[in-house]
Amino acid sequence: MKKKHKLVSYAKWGYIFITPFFLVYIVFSLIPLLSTFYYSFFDYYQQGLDWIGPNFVGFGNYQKLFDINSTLNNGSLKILTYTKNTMIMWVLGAVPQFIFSLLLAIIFTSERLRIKGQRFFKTVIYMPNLIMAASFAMLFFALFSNVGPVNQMISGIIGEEFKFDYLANTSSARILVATINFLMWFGNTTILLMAGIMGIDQSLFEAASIDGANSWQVFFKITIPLLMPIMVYVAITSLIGGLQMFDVPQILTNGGAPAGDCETLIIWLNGYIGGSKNYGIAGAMSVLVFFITGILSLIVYKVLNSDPDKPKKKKRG
Amino acid sequence: MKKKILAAALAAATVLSFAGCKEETGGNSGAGNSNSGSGNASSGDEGKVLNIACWNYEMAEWFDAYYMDKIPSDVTVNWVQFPNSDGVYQQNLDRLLSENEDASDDEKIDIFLAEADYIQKYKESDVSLALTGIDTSNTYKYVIDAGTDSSGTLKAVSPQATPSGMIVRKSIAKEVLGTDDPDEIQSKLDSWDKFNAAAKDAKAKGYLMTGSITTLWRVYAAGQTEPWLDSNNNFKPVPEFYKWYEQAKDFMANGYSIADGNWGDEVTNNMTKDGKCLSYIGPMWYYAFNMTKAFANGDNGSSGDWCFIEGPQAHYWGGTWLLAAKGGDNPTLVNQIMNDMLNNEDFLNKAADGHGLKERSTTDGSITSADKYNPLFPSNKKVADALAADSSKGFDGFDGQNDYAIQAKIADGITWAPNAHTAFDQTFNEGLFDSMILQWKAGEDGKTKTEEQCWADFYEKLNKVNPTATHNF
Repeated sequence: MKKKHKLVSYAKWGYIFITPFFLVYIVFSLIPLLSTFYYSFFDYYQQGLDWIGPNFVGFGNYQKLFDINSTLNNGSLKILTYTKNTMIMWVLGAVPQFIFSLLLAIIFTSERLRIKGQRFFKTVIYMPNLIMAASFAMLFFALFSNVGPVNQMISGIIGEEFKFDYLANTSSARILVATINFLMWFGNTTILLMAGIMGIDQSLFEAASIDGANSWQVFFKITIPLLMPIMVYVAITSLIGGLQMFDVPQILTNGGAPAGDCETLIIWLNGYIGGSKNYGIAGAMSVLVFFITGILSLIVYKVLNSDPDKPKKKKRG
Repeated sequence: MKKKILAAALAAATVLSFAGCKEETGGNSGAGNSNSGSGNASSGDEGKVLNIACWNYEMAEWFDAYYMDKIPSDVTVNWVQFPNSDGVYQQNLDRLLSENEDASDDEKIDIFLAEADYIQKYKESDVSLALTGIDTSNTYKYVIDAGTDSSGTLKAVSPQATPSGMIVRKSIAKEVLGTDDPDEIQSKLDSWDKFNAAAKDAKAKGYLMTGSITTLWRVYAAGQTEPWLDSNNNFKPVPEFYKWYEQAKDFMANGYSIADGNWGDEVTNNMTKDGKCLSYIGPMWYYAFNMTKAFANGDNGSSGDWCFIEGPQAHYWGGTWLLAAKGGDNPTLVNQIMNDMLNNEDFLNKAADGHGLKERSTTDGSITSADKYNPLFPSNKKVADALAADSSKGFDGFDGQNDYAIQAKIADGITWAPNAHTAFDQTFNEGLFDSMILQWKAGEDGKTKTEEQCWADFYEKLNKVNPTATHNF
């Protein structure tokens, strides 16, 4: 008589537990994503109160986006303009954010400094992230308005009336957008980098100090290389967030003023969804944003992940 | 046990947040208003909530003060408001109307308001219902023509006519034109040549001829006989546009006007005591809405220093029409309201007087305790003529002048060109001129745009609302 083997499959429970995530993902992310791709090949919009389409037009919508003389571009490639605006505002916010967060992360994790009240500081720097971007933008809008407190304060200090329209000036408006993004996200980045640094084996730091390495050497030879995976993650998520920048410039600059210099890719896209519910063009724009994000992420990944010390393979003769 | 409670709470939160996704009827649903008066419409099996979609609370305030006693006591009137700018109202209205037949009874839109700039879109569509049994015999013809679709069916009515003229600052007129008598001022400004000559004199004396250069367009717009889009959906500026453009270039080059849109701060600031503007252009709703605050601004006010004249060219600007929404559940009451808007003399006389209004909050539509003065110029010719003949009537702040008399005269001459309108007129009458002004209005870094850039700016707006529109001219 054979003895029945009863196998207990724990894997089953694993699948059951992850099902809700996949269901939600499929319904709310994957299907919309695929339908965006699908509709980008159609003429599908509302004209007045009538719906036009969906009529298959192949790459017609993409052609319109890249035809400099189309009724969408009217003489200048809009997608380049808005990608440039978006990237400028992202770089202005992200680069100082990385440097500042890295500095904070090192200070907070330093064995030598042993800062007291870390929990307090970590909470405080994370706080801005809890405020809605919209509220943040409204706050800055009020602070930096023509007759706002900032101008009043400067007037008070210099003793004569000071008037500067921060939001009507391209550079200052972009810097304000970048500043809000910086303030909102540096806490989050700091905490991620701290987790990364604390994950590095402490014995490496000890070994380095025994070998007589100074702080700079420890930083560049141990911390940075071992922190790379986290840095790549931080850079790519920040890039994705940056390319999808919408709420802050939309509210702060009322949809991209001055003269569209703060108009981001998504604000541009939103204009086509709002007016004529143009799912075809907006779909094509979204697909392009998808690819721009993919390509830029790949570049960031390649650049940060390349190992300069790795000896290049010589071709065998 | 604690964990179970926590889990239950989280589950409940999730379910509730999904439930929260259900679309609501309105952005700012105004606080409902039951009334205690006696109604006269039979509403036995009709809805108990009357939803009216609107872009501001002007009509709501007139209803609150002068019409609620004519609505059955068991019916709640609910105002569903979205802002007018950038087409936000139309986007939301379109969505609500398309879902109207499937909406729950208390959320169905019964009446929606439309402005002259987009009445074309809604009256030609089957989202609005034909109005029958309405007495239009006393109404200004242009108001009825605007509300009638291409097949001759009445679709929209308005209690308001919007004959527009010039609001002139008397003290500045005395200096520039040598008189502060309204009739004499009119005789010195009754043609464009005289208007332009006066602009030069005003400038020489340190004044501005008029507030906003874009407002001037409204004078020309009323004379438009061709639409902005031809039958091939091609955009071509109408002849009136070029007349405006020549004048605008001249005015801006010489500094006769302010380089800003209709509602610019500098434009409205010049309405107060130290203002430099000789004149503004607009109908009664414009000065009631825009100038009353400047008139009554304490020591900085300018009340009594103004008069109303016809100006160089009779025209109309704006207007609020009421349309019956398909799918609404209060047909009898809606029909009563539509008829009353044209013919209920009690309502029209009270609204034309405009006192005793309570302001509604612009954020949530709730009635505040603030008093508001906002007279309406009635679309009913009989009522308007009676007001025009009564020398005791007139706008507060016009120093005893009966402006109804001038408005009534202008209203008689207004015509509505049935073929001059498109569904996208808001994009043309506002969007195009907001773009054009960028060549004079310094934007970023104090720079202005070139004419070509202004056109490109406008074409992008047009493309957003009307993707297949071309522009070859």
